[in-house]
Amino acid sequence: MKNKIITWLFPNYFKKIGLLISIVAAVLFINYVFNNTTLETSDYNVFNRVLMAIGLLMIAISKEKIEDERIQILRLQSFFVSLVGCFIYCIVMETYSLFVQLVHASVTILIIFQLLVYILLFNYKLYKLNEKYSKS
Amino acid sequence: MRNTVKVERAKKDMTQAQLAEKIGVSRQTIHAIETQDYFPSVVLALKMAKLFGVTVNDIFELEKAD
Repeated sequence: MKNKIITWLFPNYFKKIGLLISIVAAVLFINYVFNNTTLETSDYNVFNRVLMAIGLLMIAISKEKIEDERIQILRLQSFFVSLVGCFIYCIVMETYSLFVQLVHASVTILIIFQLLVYILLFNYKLYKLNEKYSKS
Repeated sequence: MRNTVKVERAKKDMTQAQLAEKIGVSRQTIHAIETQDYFPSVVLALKMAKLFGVTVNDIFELEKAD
């Protein structure tokens, strides 16, 4: 019987690959900010954003070493909060565009934002729970 | 919901880690169930009952507040 809420996830080692891709994307972004790049600016930005989104997605949907139902509930809780966070981000950006200055919105940035909120929240919850139950 | 997982585990002389390994969850999850911070799914409850050789009703009991 299938008792998993989320039935499909990448194997655990994809988390390390995702982390590596994200670090590469972050380094490229820092390089872009502080130095001149030979690539055309908009192309470089798109490449960087997509690379970061792929890396974060890999981290987000990789299994934990022991992926049980409690972990999956944490995933759902974190996903729900990240969805609300994403909604607030959209409202803030729309309001800013309407009243202050038109902002060129990117869907990839929105996805990166949601994935970041999800990953940070999920890992924080996991850390707090494991800390609590490892002490006793 | 009250449970007697800790008692049943002690009867079988099992550690949390051993029980966790047998039913395919983490040790922290067993601890969370024993301290009643987490209520397991029906499948997990049935797995535990089968392992302890009792019924689910023997392990889990509803409280008045439930």
